[in-house]
Amino acid sequence: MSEHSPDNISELLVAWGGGDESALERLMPLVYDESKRLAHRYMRGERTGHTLQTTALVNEAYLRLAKWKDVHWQNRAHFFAVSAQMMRRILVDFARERQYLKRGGGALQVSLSEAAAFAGGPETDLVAIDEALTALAKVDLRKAQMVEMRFFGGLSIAEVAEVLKVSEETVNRDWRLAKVWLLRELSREPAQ
Amino acid sequence: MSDKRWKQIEELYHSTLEQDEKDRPAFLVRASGGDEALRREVESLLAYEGHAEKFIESPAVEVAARIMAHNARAKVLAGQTINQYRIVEPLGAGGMGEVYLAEDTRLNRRVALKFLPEHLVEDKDHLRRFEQEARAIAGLPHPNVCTIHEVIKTPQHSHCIVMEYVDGINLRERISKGRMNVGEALDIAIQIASALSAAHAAGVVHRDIKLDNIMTRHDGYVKVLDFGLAKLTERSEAANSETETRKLSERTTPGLVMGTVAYMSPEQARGLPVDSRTDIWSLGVVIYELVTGQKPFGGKTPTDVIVSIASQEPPPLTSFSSEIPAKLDQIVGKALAKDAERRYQTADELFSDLKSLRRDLDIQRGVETLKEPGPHIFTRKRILIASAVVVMLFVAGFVYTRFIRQRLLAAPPSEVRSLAVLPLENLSGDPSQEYFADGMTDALITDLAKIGALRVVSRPTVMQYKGIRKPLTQIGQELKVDAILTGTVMRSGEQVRISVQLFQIATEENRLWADSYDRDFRDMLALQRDVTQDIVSKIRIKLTPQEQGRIGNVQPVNPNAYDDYLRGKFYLNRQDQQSNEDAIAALEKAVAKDDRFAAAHAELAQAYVWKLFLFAPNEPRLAERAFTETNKALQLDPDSAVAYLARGRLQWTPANSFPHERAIRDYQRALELDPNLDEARNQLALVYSHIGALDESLRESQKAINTNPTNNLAQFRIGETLNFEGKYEEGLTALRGIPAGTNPELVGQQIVWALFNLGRKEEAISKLEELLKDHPEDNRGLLTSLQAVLAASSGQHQIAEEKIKSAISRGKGFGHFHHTTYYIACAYALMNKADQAMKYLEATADDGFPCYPMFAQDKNLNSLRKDPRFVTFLERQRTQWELSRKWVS
Repeated sequence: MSEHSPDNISELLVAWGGGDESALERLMPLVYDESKRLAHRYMRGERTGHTLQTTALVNEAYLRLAKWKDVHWQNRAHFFAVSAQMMRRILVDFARERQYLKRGGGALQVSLSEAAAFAGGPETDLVAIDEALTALAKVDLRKAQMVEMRFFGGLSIAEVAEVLKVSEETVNRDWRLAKVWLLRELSREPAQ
Repeated sequence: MSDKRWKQIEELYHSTLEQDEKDRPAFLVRASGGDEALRREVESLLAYEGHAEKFIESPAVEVAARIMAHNARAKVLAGQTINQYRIVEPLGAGGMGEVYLAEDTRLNRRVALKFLPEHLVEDKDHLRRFEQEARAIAGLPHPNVCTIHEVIKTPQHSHCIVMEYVDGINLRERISKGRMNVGEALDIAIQIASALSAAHAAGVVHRDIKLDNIMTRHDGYVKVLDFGLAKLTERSEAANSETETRKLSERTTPGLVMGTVAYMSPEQARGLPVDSRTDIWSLGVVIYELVTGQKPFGGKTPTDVIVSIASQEPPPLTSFSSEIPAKLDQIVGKALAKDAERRYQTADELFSDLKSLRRDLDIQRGVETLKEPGPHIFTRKRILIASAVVVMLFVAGFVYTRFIRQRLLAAPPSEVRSLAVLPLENLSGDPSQEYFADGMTDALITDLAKIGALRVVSRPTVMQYKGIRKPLTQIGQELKVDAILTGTVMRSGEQVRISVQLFQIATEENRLWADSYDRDFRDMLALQRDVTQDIVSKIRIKLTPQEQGRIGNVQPVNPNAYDDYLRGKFYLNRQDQQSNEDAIAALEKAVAKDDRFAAAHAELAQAYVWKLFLFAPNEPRLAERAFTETNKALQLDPDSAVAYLARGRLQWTPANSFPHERAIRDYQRALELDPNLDEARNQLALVYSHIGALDESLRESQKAINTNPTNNLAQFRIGETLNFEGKYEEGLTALRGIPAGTNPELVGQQIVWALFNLGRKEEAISKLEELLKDHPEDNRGLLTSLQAVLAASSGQHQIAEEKIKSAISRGKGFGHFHHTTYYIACAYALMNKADQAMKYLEATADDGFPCYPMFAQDKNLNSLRKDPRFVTFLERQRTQWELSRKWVS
């Protein structure tokens, strides 16, 4: 229990933000717990949808951290950026491991491209999105950060606008373009 | 990309979005000011507008949660039973839902369950169309179609497709390490084409043929997945597609669907209605990718790919490797014709071209192989050499080609023109599986016998070698064949392994080829076809297009029905009464399980015919049953030799007044389809002998004996026909050659007749007495009428008259009476009773026995020869005989 205490979480986050990679591993169980909580709700048939907007995890972490007066965050934006990066790393690693297991499992009587029409659509492939996002960062860093915060960090348009200190309209426009750009990137054939 | 360029793109993108959708293309052209690259870039981004709305709107943690939920549900589902399916483990998840390996506890087989996600089955119209196609596929057991067993719906679970479990990898994974060689790719492509051909015939278009949808099993068998599933995701066709962009967005879902765009036919990419030819295009793309490792139509974006599909020609296959024959390039080129009208019109045509290419390659490869001793192993190097030969052949001019071919074909060892398939050995260790090994042997013989240029020793002959171990060279000499096929069959549940070896027999055994086939029982028919085709390619025999069609034509059959069918045939081959009943029971089961199983209907008809003629002549109901089955068989398969045989036999009866011409045509057709069907030859010889085509009858009987030396009926027919010709000495010799105990009554009466006509009356009388002792009932009156003849010739008129009366009363009601009437006519003629003699002679001819040459030569009728009535009669018989010559071949 002590491992999950706010102090501990904040410390780990700060440490990871400061470049300590091992801190991430210790953050993982926290993210997994949150995911599991959600998974249970899916299984009970509850519709989570957009209302939930799982900012809970990050927000909780933030609220806990906000009480931690000595933490030297450069600013709020910095905190959210680091939190979103953390989520990205953890979730993508999780998905990558899943993919590996799937392939290692051998016979898959499912055509891979079936995913196309699935409820979740192309975003079910977190690994591919991670790669596309890295590519986007080279073209337009701000849009990539925005996607990271929205998708991985779970922030709303308004929150992103606040953090990045731009108008919501700008966020909307950027978000829209970033999405089509990513979709196009995801459509690329894997290298032969 | 420079920041400045990116800004430009961004601005143009947003300003275009502000326009009405229909004005966008024109606006884009204007606003890009001739900067084509800019326009294309923005256009390709706009293509995704329609799909971006929900994309990444839910946070990633939800995605992770969904994956976890799936895992957890998989754990929960494992071990559960839905209907008769016990879930074993998850196989994976995809857009069409989660897939589990399950055990069908009722049929004791492994199946895959695919749970369709709710949102896919929400559209009732799509669901209905999908279910329609699923039913079509379920009714289509084809070895290369991943079969849908059923679609179930339970209260707790959404729609679930129960389908065949395929243990293997898909083609995408298969070529991930590099392109395939031509031989492998052809094997796969042929199987896909075969699957498409069957599905198209059932009215199902796949619409989504691609590497990911095609699996290869570990035994090399190809299975095409997800027939009909495209129906569920298909978007409604828009009435009017205005721009390329819009067309694209209607037809595709971005993301992984990109893979699909690459396989789309031009009409599909344009959002136009598609038909079966769209699958042919996609298969063309698949073949191209298999042999080159590259897609024929590529591009940075889906728009680029579609532009490429619509307007560009891919680099020729031959530019990738010298191994790829130009013929394959032609075939793929035709599959990839932009205009569907210029494409292969049916998967069948593509299938045939691929197969004949493979055969040509096999021939070349065979030539290479024969130069080297030892077992045939397909090494990459050898294939390369062989392919190089092929390429050379294509490149070289006609004269050069012919020169090479002649040299190659002259190379020893060469011609195999006759072949014996020795009984395949049952390795199952279970004698009750004997029927299966025999059935396989039989099937191979029947298939190979369809080849006109090849003499194949018939089943009854080779069956004599069952369990007998002799040197193959000796067997080869005994059967007078160039080659022998031996093999083993092992069946364990649904799995069947057949191993075969082909030996050329000259002075020593020379193994030409050996191979093993591991298949599912349900694929037996295709297995037979494959073995036959492989043998054909090894012995380098030339098939006519019709023969190719008959051998390649495998009607999908319910595997359980096929099992019953094999049992039925097994019993039918033994001709005792109990086996006849067992055969009928098994074949009735077969047709009950699969009403579309032509061969089972045909064999069932045969079984009833045998019962009718041998065991239950007084049950007219049997004739009706037999007719019904014959007609069904012929409706389903107009090339069923057995059905023609059965129909001929059913028609040529006393009740039907022996329609000679119709029966002859049926038997001729049966023999055209299966020259080894010696039973049909017997029947043909029988009818020929009755209408006085005596030379032809002898020829057919002789052929029947050539295919089946144990065909005693043909031997009898030869003796009888020689008697009809007046060649009694030869007739007697032939009849004496028949093993004792073979239908003694039938054979004996002809021996009596020959002896009598040779003037050996004492012997004739004692033989006749012996026969009557064994067959006192003489229910055709035939033996009694012979007694009348013998008495008449000895001047014992009173006895003769009594015997005639007795013969008539015995034979009355027995349909096949014309032989008896002929003997009666002879008896009267010998007694100089012309009126009576003429009456029975007319009856003989009118009643199905118009044997003009016999009437013309028989000395027993000599007292009539000057009678004007006889002169007229004989003249009429001659005219009729001449007319009948045109049916006889």
